[in-house]
Amino acid sequence: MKRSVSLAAITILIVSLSLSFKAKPDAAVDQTPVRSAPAASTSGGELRNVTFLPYWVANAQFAGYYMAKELGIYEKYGMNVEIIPYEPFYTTSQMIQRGTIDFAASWLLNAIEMKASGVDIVNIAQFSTRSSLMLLTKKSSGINKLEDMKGKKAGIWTGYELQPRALFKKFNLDVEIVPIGSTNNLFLRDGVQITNANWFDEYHSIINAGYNPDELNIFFFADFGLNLLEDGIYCLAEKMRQDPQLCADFVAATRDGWMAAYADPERAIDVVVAYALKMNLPVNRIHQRWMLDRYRDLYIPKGEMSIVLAEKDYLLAAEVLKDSGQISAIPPFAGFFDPVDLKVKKAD
Amino acid sequence: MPFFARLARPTRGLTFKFIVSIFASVALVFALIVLYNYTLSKRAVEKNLKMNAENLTKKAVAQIETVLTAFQKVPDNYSQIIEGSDFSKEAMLRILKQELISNPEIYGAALAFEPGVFGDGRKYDMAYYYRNLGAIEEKFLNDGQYEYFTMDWYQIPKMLDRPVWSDPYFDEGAGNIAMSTYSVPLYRTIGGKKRFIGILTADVSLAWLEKIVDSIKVYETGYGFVISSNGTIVTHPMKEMMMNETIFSIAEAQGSKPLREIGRNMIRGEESFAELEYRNIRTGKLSWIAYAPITLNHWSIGVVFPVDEFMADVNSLFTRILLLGSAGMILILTIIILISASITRPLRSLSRVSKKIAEGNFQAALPEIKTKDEMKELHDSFAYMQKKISEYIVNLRETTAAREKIESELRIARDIQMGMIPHLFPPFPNLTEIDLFAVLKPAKEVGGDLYDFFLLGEDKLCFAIGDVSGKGVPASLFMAVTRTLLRSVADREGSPADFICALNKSLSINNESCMFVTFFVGVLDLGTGDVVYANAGHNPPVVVRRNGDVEDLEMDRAVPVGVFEDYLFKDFSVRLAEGDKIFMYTDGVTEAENGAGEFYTVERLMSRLAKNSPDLPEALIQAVGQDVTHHVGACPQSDDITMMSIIYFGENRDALTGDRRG
Repeated sequence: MKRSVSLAAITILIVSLSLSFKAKPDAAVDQTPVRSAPAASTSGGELRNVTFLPYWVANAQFAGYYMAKELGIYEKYGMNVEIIPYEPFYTTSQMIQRGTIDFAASWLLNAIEMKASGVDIVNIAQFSTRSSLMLLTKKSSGINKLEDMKGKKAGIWTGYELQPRALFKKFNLDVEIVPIGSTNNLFLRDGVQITNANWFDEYHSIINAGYNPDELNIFFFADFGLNLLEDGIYCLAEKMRQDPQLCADFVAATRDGWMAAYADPERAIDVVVAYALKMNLPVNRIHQRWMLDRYRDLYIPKGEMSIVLAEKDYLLAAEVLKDSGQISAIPPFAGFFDPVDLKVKKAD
Repeated sequence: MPFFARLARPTRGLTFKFIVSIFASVALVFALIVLYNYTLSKRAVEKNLKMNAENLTKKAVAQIETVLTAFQKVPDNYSQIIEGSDFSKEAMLRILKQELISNPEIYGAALAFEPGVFGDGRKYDMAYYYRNLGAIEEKFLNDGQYEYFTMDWYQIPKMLDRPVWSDPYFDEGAGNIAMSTYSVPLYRTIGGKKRFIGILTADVSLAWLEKIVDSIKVYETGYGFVISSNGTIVTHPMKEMMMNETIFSIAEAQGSKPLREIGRNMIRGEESFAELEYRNIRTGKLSWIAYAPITLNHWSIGVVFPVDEFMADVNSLFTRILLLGSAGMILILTIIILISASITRPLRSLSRVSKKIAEGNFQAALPEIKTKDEMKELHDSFAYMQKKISEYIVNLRETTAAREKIESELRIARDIQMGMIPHLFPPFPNLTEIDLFAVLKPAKEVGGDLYDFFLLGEDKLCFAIGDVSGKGVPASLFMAVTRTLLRSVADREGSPADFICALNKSLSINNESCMFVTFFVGVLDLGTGDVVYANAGHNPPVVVRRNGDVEDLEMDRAVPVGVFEDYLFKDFSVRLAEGDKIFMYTDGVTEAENGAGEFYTVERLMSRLAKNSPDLPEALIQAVGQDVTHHVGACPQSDDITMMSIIYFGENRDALTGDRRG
């Protein structure tokens, strides 16, 4: 169920952002980003209400946000952050009724598509520096290198075909893409020989369905020139213009939340599991621990968090979208990436 | 001393040795027996357990498969009916609904078709029937809101071309119960070709499965569980495990490689009733796990056996044996202590008494021994010894008293003996012609040597030296007789040979003890210095001339007095010049032995006499005496030592003594 729900989430994100953001229809796509200037401190004043929408259910992949909220880091930065619970089928209307979502997490590919479709969002912080997406094969199927995939079936999540297609095209591989839902069962039961997986999630689920790592072959997209980056924080360009301090505070607090999660993983998992249970989700601590550990690898491979999106990474993703015909033109990088200035203010 | 204090002593007693050796060997034997017993019982229990495990697991599998087969029958039959017929969609739905009504164990059923199967251009075509409050509800999902083509229940049987049981899931609509869906691919022959047209599903509650598996109770905490084909926990006594965990995530959480291996074997459809050990997730204790596949849906059932519980009987038996054994060991220990005490107590008492006896208390009472064993024998021997020692000591006292009496008498005898020979020097203060000195040092209290001198008239000095054979009282008596006889036979008219002959005659008569005496007698004419002498087997005396020459007196050795009654002894003579000395001695001097058994020897005597020739008699004798003492060292004196020396001054005593030492 997971992946199809995720698709719904993207839809929700697009719809909700579009609906809420479209209140300002004239937002210029190519507007020069305005550096946030030191703003009047909100300390002493009331907390600013902020809403955040993750693109997936409560999982360790959002541990930083939950920790920042749980440990009061957002409050220290003068914010009262509401993490909108991810509800696949009927949150859309609620979102619309609520009218606004201040910040949302999204994968780069989806965000570019959204931007190109006219929603004037900006990336204010790019956390992920490496794609976690991979193709997996069983060694028993005899697929040990990319070329071996020729003529085989690949189970690919519906809506996530772009990246695999780009890979198969790049290496001229004739692979039959079988759209699948959110489970790995078709792959586990040999219905397909190839499947896509996130390193931090499905890969571990397959390990915990009884396959040993040495029985699997891993093909990271990043290793084949398709390092399409994932998590970034987005908001309307106008929001960034009007209240750069709030944006900076949100990013800084979230970053602090992540560092707190890395510093105390067990606490972070407790927090995430509590949220998951509140949402009635199946949850498994070991899996959450794996996820958090991989997010450490993905976010802070060098020990500290970066919020920078390199133009070449942006262009790589945008080109894939353009080549596939998903977008007709590549939105200018300058109008897409408008990072917050973390020097503006520190937590009290 | 208290028992334990004795044990702690640095020198361990017999009791300690008994305990260590006997107790240790008994304990070892006991331990070996217990261990053997334990191992054997454990093996028997384990063997039984494996058989039970196999039965239990296989029975559960059979139960589960019976139910699953019954469930499968309805959809399977249905698919066969559809395949061999040309029912319209409506008919198919009607039959499905009817099947649902008549099969209460099925919670819900659905028909989902491939796009455009019925030529109506629909992409999504699905109907779902389910129970709600006793009624059958129906729901049509035809608008694409529910993207069923990529759902496992649809896609997997379609792609695998065979019916598939889904992974279990919680169905909130059905009251949050665990469910599984059995999906059957439907086919129809269209245009001569068998074509896949859709999927039929039947949702069944897994409550019955939980019931079967939960009924598996093994001892106190043992339990059964079921995992799906990818390891997901389907049923488990810890409900929070269900659907949330896989056997592999539990293994990862526990860091248990064996459990992961067990899980892999289980999802591969293998079975085992062997002792695969892992930590029971419920109790954290070591457990065994038996497992067997449920072949119909590729799930697997596992049964957890708490090792400590199935070993409880063996362990309690073991504990009881240990307790009994320990009690037995204490009993044995007590007996050993008592026995060793019964042995060592009298020994210690005997030891104490013997110490008292050693200290002189011969009447010290021996401990009473009531037994009639070796201890009694030892006691009796001890008593006998005590009695004998006591008697011996009494005897010894008497003997000692007697000996002391004899010794005292001997001392008196010595005094008498010494009194018999002249011992005042100078003997003749008025005689200026000579000076004389003599010593007699007996080896025992009384000796057999003698010397004597006396004046015959006014101008003759008679002197004699002798050595009686043997020593001690008999010798001294013989010596006394000899000396007395000499005095009686010596007169002015006779010569020394006459004296000795007379002496010999007297002593040889009735000499039944066969004693004899070597004897030398000389008579010095004070006026002339002439010496007439006779010898009866005695060492030749030495003449020490004024100029330092030393020479033996010339004579026959002859035989000692008392041997041949009629022996004729001869006279010899020598003239002493003024300042010459005559030195007489017994063999006690020359045969004085040192520690190495070496004699003093005549040669050494001569050289000593030569060296000390200027000395007056007393100094000369002292010098020889010292030299002998020096030679002998610490060795006891073995024979009487007698020396006598006479110097002849003539008319020139004063001139001669002026240049002499002494």
